[in-house]
Amino acid sequence: MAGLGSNPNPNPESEAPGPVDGSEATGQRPWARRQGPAAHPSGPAGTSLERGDRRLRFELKALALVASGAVPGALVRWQLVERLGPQLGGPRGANLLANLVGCLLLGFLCGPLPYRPPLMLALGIGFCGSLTTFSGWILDLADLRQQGLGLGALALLLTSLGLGLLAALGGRALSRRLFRGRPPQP
Amino acid sequence: MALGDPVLVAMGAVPGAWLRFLLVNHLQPLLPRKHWATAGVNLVACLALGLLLSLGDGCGDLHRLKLLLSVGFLGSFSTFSTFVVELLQALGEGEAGEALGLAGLSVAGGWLALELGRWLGGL
Repeated sequence: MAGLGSNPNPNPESEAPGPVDGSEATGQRPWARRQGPAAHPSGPAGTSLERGDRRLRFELKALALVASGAVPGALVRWQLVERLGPQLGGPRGANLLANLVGCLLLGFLCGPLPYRPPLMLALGIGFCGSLTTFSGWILDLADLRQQGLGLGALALLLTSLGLGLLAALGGRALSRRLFRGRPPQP
Repeated sequence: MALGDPVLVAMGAVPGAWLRFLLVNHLQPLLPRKHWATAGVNLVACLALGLLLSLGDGCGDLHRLKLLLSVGFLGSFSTFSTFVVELLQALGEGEAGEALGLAGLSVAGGWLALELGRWLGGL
């Protein structure tokens, strides 16, 4: 933001929405350098408003997409713990399953998908982010340790990391295969 | 299962995911690497979980509050999948040391933050 004054952008229209706000806050108006103040008296303000409006709409859309994925993600994790927990050795088994499924899906989303930005917001940041839990995982590790099962905690730690990495790798390889039709680039 | 339970989980999940999304977006440009923003969010979640667990001790039945705050909000705020994918990216870029540091600091820091939260809640 501070660099705007010393380094004028030759093409302010192409600026990301962020710096526009910053330049307004510091009292600088990048567009004033592009066209004279008297050229279109109402033009620049209208453009700025439109830009702000567009930015707000973009942010609201992003938040709506994130929320649309977050709700099913959290509900699935909760129901996995409630229903499959007893068969998976308690909540930690269910949390591990949720985390691994989330890694697989997020790995898949990291590939060359069509419509990636909205999918990433809804399924990646929203669904996978909510389906998987870091605080729950750490609590599971700490509980095992507290029960005197230090080795069990270490096993859960290494299993989660190892299988999580493999799941993400597998998901990414699958989407590269599906959407590019040739082996992944190095 | 009470009818309101899924609503409580969802009511916690939405602000949790929003806060994570907005915090990571704001922190990213301030940090040397993107993955430290995710790690920071996860550590805060662990601290808050420890605090909640400790404050909830001996408070009777907190089933519904747990659904809202622990299962919904903190479960959604913290994320394991992004952490793992960012580890994978660091490894893919040949930065094994960075990946090891991220994993070590996240796990050890998360654990410490959880215990710190528990301790703070017991004061």
